[in-house]
Amino acid sequence: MFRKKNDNETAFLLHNTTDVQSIVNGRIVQSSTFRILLGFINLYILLGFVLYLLVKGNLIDGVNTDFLDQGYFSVLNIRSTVVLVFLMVMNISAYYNHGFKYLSLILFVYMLNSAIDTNILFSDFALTAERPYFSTFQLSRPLLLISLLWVAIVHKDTVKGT
Amino acid sequence: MSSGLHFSKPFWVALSIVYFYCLFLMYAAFLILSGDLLDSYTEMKMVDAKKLTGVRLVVMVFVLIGYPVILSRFSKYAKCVTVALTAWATIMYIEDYFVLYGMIEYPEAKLIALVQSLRPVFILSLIWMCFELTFSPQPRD
Repeated sequence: MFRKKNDNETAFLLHNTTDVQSIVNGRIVQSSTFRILLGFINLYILLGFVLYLLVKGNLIDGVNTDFLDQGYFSVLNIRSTVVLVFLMVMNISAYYNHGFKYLSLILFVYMLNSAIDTNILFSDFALTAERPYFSTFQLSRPLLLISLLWVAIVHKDTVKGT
Repeated sequence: MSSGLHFSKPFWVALSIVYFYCLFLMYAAFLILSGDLLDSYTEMKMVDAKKLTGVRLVVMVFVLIGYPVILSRFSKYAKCVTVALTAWATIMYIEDYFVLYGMIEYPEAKLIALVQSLRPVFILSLIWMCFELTFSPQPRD
């Protein structure tokens, strides 16, 4: 024969059940805006890395790549690797939902700083007709910066009410 | 206004170090821009160093003026701003040494050498401020 549970016991059981569910299924569901922005950031950086690999392997024809000899290639080499590593860390932090806002903020600062440096040091090389791929990436950099800020704003750290 | 400024002594020490260093840096940047410290450099490198220093100087002036306002009136955002500024300072330090070292060179004057050698202290002070703002409970939180 089962004893009838009182209100305190029922509340205790329900509370514990909620806790178990939040641990097992407790992954915070991010908004669709967040997912689209994160997808765009991934796509942008991966395309940049692919472009770097194509240039490195001399696989792009019809593009004047003389400017690469003037120091730009070493900068491109380090920055594309650093940004790719950063992207991986950012995706991991998004998956585990830990420190994502800070990482996106740091990547935003890094991309902004590199954009300023590139515009100052390599302003003579910004010829759209000769280097359409690089120029497109340089010109669309503000979109990435806006996305990085936006993704940090819409990211949910915790579930409301916890 | 002062209700938002409840920080520990180490935070104020770190903030003072940052401000003193920035003022010192501004003086060095002013000397570079005026051309007093540039003598035996190639024209291209001199122009690049001047351009980069000019842009960084302008950003630094805005930050030095704006940061106390954020700290006192918008303390909610002080943590994010401090993290961003620390990231910026660290990124510039790493990039200057590992990425741009082949393209820009700064004058070999003792003043510039001192500025460069004190740079890690400046970054450590900023990191300390980040930790303080992140882990110390603030009255407004």
